[in-house]
Amino acid sequence: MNETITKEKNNENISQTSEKVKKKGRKRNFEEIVKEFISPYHVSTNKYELESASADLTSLPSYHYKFKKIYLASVIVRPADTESLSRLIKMCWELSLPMTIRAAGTSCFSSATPSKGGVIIDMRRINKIEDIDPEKMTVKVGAGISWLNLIEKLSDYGLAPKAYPTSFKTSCVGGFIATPGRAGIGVPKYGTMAESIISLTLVLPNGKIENISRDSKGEISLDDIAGTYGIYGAVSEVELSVTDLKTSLEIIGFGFSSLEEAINYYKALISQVPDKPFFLSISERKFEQYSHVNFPSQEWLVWAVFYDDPEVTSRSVSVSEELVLKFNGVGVDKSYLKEKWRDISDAEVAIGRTSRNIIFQEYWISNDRLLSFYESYIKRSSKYKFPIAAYTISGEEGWSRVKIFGLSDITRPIEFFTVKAFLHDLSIKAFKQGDSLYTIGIVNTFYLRKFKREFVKQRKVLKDKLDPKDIFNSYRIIKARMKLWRISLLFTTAKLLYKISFKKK
Amino acid sequence: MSEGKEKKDIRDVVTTGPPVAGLVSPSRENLIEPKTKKKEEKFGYDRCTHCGYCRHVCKVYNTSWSETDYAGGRNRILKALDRKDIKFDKEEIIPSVYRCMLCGNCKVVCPVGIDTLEVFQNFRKEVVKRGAMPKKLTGLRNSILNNNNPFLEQHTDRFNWCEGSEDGKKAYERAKKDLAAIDDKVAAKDLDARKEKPRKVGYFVGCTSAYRNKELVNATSEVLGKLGIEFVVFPEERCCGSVLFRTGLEDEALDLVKHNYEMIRNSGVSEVVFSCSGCFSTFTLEYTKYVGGNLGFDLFHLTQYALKLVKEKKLKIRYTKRSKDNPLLITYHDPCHLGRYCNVYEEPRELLQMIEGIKLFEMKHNRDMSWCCGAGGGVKALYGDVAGEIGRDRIAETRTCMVRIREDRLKEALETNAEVLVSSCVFCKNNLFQVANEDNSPIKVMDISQLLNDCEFYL
Repeated sequence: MNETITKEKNNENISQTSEKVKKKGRKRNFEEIVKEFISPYHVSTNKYELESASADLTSLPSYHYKFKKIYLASVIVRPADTESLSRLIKMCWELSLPMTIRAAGTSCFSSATPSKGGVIIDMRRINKIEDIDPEKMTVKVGAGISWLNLIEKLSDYGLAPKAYPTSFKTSCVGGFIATPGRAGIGVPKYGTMAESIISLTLVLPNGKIENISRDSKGEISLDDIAGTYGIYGAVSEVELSVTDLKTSLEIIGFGFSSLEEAINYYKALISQVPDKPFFLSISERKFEQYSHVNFPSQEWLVWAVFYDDPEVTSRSVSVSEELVLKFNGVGVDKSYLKEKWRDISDAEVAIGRTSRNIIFQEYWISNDRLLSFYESYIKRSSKYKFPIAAYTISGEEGWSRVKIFGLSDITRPIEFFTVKAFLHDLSIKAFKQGDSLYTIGIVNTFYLRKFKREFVKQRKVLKDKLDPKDIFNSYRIIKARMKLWRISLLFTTAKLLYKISFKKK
Repeated sequence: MSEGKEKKDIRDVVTTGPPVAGLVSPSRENLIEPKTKKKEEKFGYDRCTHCGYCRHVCKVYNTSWSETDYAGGRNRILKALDRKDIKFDKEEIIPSVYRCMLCGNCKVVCPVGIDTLEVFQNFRKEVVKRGAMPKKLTGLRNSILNNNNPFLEQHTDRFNWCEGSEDGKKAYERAKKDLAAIDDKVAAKDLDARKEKPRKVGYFVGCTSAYRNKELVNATSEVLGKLGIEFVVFPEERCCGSVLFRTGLEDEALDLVKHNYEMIRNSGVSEVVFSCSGCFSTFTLEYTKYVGGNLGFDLFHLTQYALKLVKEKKLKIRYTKRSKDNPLLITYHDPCHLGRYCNVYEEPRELLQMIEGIKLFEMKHNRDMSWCCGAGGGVKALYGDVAGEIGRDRIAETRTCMVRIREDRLKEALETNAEVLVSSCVFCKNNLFQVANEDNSPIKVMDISQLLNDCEFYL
């Protein structure tokens, strides 16, 4: 089968590939063997399922992810536990079958989609809660469990996870480990996802099972796994430290006319409020406007959630309200803030009510450079007429994830690609000023290769050891599918065409 | 007597955001209407951002884990078909299209406001037009079109249930008399015949109640009688067409719609009462669309009608089998067709809470976030009786999904410590009753008509 797939690698017609393989009988052997240890219903070559599973969160047209060599998997397998996962991965390894680990597929930028076809290993069935220990305040779970299911279950014990993504309604625990896990709910207060991990079970690309904890002295550490997009293996189980459910939740929010004052207040909430916010955000009025009927009138909205015991939240609110006086903030309607918090998960998606094709990029910006980055964003955006909006959430100590949305439609291709060009220019700006992008995936790897060469080189050392054939979650971090110069050329052309078409009007 | 669960726990302190986000539907009042609906856009699926929020609420997906079994995954297939990235395969496409209970929970949580019910019913219509249909659907369709019911029963047996209910029998006889009178007057070319309205209230029984759940029809008839209503039934009643609408056979339902609509108009009633939520939603949504607005008669589910009458007549209600000090502990299951389809959540609750001798406890997932019982969308009809080794056959797996779905709902009911699970839909009642029986569950399952029939209404 390996031989056949290698021969057919360059054949763009996937169905022909499947046919030829089938005739030779090798694909049938792979499936049959897998079905011996994984429920036959959870091994699928249904073409509709493959089409659906070979993509991730995006409203962009499919050619945006179909550039990646063979974007479509040829089989999906859903193992139910670590042992069957290990056996499956080992089998794929021996057959040199490319593997892509997937759960909810909500990380974007093709973080969980195939780049070389092969097998999608869907982790959703590895979702058991093995143990909740209210004394030790720990939980041991299958990495395929959704955050919402985990949150609901933990709440029965008066517990809650420390850090989780705003996409918690659908995303899974393993995904937040593999993607940065550095910004989200609870992160400003409790630290990153990585910091909540006590230990995890990793299945290496060759199928070997490794248990890795904070104290592990082996070849691979927790720091290697967190935020590396699964290039070293699949996280099947994880033990997390958790916190207790608090009894008080307070939300504060203020509007600012001045960007500088808004950002200074945002930074002050992190550095000068004794008990850090549970969640902290700054958004442009446009961001609010693109999804809401009524929204604050000031240009910038800074809002925070404090979640703790009543005296603590009360103190935090008092300090926050004192601080805002220094920055000319104007109070925002409490009901608006409550609604924002209640539907926090929807915030970044509801903007899709305004646009069929939302394009966005996520920047990882140091708070020290947040103002200069925003100023650059505003200056550049003034050159264009398309809708753009920024939304920032606080991440690990001293950093923020700035998400910039461009709202366009593929039926207006010049504008569409110019929006992407705009985001691309900002990406280069971010890297040049010493910052980075937040989610890398397949799509953004070429930036790392250009601007973070040392980091890539470091990661490559371990990757070459664990996966020399590069068949496990390929084209992430180490190897790029695209080249910077090609992208730059494409976007420069788009900007030129945009200028010309705009001048004509 | 067990104590119902009414504990106020720490989660109640946090009324917004996590951890209760999965239990409460997103607020929509302050969100803009989706601007991206183009004039020529028939369906909303191309606005799907594939955020996956529909996954969490999809009971089928959470059992099967298949990417085609939730709204976002199905939307991706629709987009791929549109772009011709993938070929239309009559056999392979069927599970993706029909393994959906059309419960509407995904519609509730969709952040970009896609009407998933419309999208997927239209998907089924398109698929049927292109010659793809589950095998059982042909038989179902033929039964409805030939026998006016989906059960292959004789049309002439539709009102056999009357023998079990005095009120029902009288209603039937009244209706026959009225029909004869109208016919006579029409025959005499009395143009005012149709303007006379001898009866105000008609009861549309529906196929499932008439042929499979006579106890519900009888109970409803008795309740209307207790409330002092001289109602009629519709002797020429045919299937409302709900099954056809849900399974992509909308065009074939239109004759039924025309017949039933004209039948009710000719009867002269101004209020039509339904005990079946499926019939009620079909009339409310599809029939009104057919006539382009006002039907000329008002539609009520039994729960709404009973509540209306109790309020108008200032009646009190007492459950005769228990007392105020020893109430029957119940929990209420929101049928998808009454709740999410028609936004009727509070009237049934208000009615139940008026009953002395009953205490209502809510399940964790209720109102617009209520879990489906597993019976809707044609899934039970198309896949319900198929045997097969679990795990080896996708059809059998669908059946397994359904079993798990209704087991999950019953489990949630048990968590409230209620003695009885009450619903207001014959499909829900049957499905949950089935699993309660199979599991020898301590919780009883009842339709609200049966509960009301055990009540007395007094001044």
